[in-house]
Amino acid sequence: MMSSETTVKNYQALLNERKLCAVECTSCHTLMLPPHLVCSNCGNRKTAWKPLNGRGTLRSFTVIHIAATSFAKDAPYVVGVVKLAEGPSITARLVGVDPQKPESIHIGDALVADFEAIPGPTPEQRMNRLIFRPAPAAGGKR
Amino acid sequence: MINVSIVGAGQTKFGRHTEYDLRELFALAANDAIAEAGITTKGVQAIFVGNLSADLFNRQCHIAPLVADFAGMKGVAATRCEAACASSATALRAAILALESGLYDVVIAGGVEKMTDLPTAGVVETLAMAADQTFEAGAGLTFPGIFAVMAVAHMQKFGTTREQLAAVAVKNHHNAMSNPLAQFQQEITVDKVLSSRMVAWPLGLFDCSPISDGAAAVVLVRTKDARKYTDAPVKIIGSAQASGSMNLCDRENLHTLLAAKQASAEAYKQAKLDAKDIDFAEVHDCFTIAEIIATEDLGFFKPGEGGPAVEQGRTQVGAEKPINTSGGLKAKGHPVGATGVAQVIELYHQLRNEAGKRQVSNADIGLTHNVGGTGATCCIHICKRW
Repeated sequence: MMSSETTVKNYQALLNERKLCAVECTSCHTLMLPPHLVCSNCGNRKTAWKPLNGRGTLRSFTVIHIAATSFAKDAPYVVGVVKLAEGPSITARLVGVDPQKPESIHIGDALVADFEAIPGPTPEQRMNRLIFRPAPAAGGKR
Repeated sequence: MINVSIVGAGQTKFGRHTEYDLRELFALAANDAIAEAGITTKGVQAIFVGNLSADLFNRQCHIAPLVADFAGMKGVAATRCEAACASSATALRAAILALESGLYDVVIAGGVEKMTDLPTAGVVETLAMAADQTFEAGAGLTFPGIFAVMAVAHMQKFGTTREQLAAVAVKNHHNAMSNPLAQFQQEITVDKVLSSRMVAWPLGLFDCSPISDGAAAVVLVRTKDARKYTDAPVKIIGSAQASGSMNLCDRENLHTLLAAKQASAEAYKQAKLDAKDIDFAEVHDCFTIAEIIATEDLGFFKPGEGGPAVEQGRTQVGAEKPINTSGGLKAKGHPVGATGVAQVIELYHQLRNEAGKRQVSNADIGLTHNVGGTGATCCIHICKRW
């Protein structure tokens, strides 16, 4: 799998294996998320998956009260932009925070990636959705 | 150097239309513009029409020939332009390029959206499609949510307050009181904005532009021909467009729109002007925070000063830099595909001294800032009094 093309489909397949990866340009080593097939920095077409350690910090967030039809049952819920330790950022749901108390959520909060099983394209298929949770406070070692 | 002028403008009232459908709204706006230019439909050679999603709002694709036909212009080259909420600014740019190429002499640029055919949840879902479906809408972000993320980043970086956001809505509602084509004709207060139903924290319902129907159109010719049509054409002296990341997460900064900085720098260069030379502007206040960010990206205020500036009244009609004299998207209404051209129509009326109680005195130069989607498109136009 790790040598597979850096497509959206393969990114999702990695998430389904509980692996969060960025795309790395084999030439200039730019890390990209969401996945690209072509380097957004140098235009190189050779890219590879780079496993990430799942640790990140919160860049910004919102609490969605009025959701699109497909997510209405989840509202209110928190969505954040998370900067990963390796550099790139990704947008995902934040779980384990209180959507009724946005003032208790802070930019810079330490987060860890997790995976949540959700229904896939067909009833038999399940897929993983990337989510983030507050990092355990213990020791503060990174 | 851009050498195109506006010689006629038409706009329907923005709001909920129950009598007219998509094609009829466009027909009304386009024929008002045609009449004002002193021509007939036979004199128009091409139309470019902005529209986000008649496909989903009205279950209608291929709308350019449809609206051309029902506006009395069957036979013209008719092209739809889509760039989310910046659709009609890209239609305007396509029209400008068509004239500059010499291929056509008389062109219409316009836009139309009929949003209220869908229930609110469907509108929310459709608008969210202007964000990256897979990576951001798919993560649960809505359109208000995207701008809420920017608002939280702006608040964190600069100390911008919800009261400052509310001041944008209060000002724009006030301005709309003297715009008979605006959707809302009522004053609101900071308290009303702050206590409105939460949509995407920290943005409440009154931080958001409404769901609207409407159309707008202008007749354009090359500037050297403009006086044949009217004594008071309005010159377009800058037209620039830039794109940026679709995804918020792929941006270095969340409190600013790179595409807006890039497009405005190019437009200022074309017009040989600077931010300080702009007398007034219509900016894309789809959400209150967006106006504050716009006034900073355009160079009207330093980063972080946009919030205090609106709160201190520096962007009211009569103050140093009037912003959204029409009422903006917030109060004039935001039929998304029509907005870019409607912004330019406000400039047209201001620069012809036709803006009534909201007239900016001694207005010579105006600017429009039209943002598509999450900020992945930005179009800037600069207009000058004849």
